[in-house]
Amino acid sequence: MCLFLFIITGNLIGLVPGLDSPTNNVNTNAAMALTVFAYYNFWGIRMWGAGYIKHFMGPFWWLVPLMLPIEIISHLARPLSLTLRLFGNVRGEEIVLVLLFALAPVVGTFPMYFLFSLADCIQAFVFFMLAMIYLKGSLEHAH
Amino acid sequence: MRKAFMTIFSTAALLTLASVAFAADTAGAMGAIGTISWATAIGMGLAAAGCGLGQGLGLKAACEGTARNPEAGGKITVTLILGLAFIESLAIYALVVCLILLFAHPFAKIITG
Repeated sequence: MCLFLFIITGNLIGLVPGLDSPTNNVNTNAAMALTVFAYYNFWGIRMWGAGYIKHFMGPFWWLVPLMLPIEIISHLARPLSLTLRLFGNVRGEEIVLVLLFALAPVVGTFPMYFLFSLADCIQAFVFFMLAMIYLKGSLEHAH
Repeated sequence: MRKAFMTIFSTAALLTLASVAFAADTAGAMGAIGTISWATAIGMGLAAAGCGLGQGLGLKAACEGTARNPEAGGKITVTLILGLAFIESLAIYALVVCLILLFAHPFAKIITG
């Protein structure tokens, strides 16, 4: 919930001319994504103990050599995708706004504001939903 | 039809390769900007095309689902928005790579030592 409020205000602040979003920078997003990663793994280990490794093992025992690397890479790709999704959206919006402002000051940017505020809110919601889904996935039974 | 398509395609390919050959003559990091611009434009175009197709399919399924069962409209809309953001993020990955190529130009240090 805190994540959602932070990201949505952070994103929308960037639309005000003259202000910059904190989510503009890849470091903010990386910090949030790594926090989410550490958080859901911590709660998974706390709930299941050493049995947390079963989440990475797939449905059958003979699939383990295949499933373990795939699951580990997939789990490592999660903070990467969270970071890049948010960073790309907010930075791309900033660049487009700057370019359009140079080309057609008010008429060009005014309609883009609606699209970008919508995309900001949706991206905040998606980050929050994904964090909840990962947390739920780590807490539920492993297959 | 196929012959016309192959003719046009070969012409476009030859034109593209010719400009790349000219750009490769200028040495060092400054010559790479032409290739990088081509790569960025075509890459983003392909990413946007794929994203458009994917989101269109998702939207189609969401509209059909809502038309069949208007009461489930709220849940379908929420699922749709979530799915659209996921597909959008694939195009955003392509955008990030293009931004890296354009602004954090990775070749300059390697070529100029």
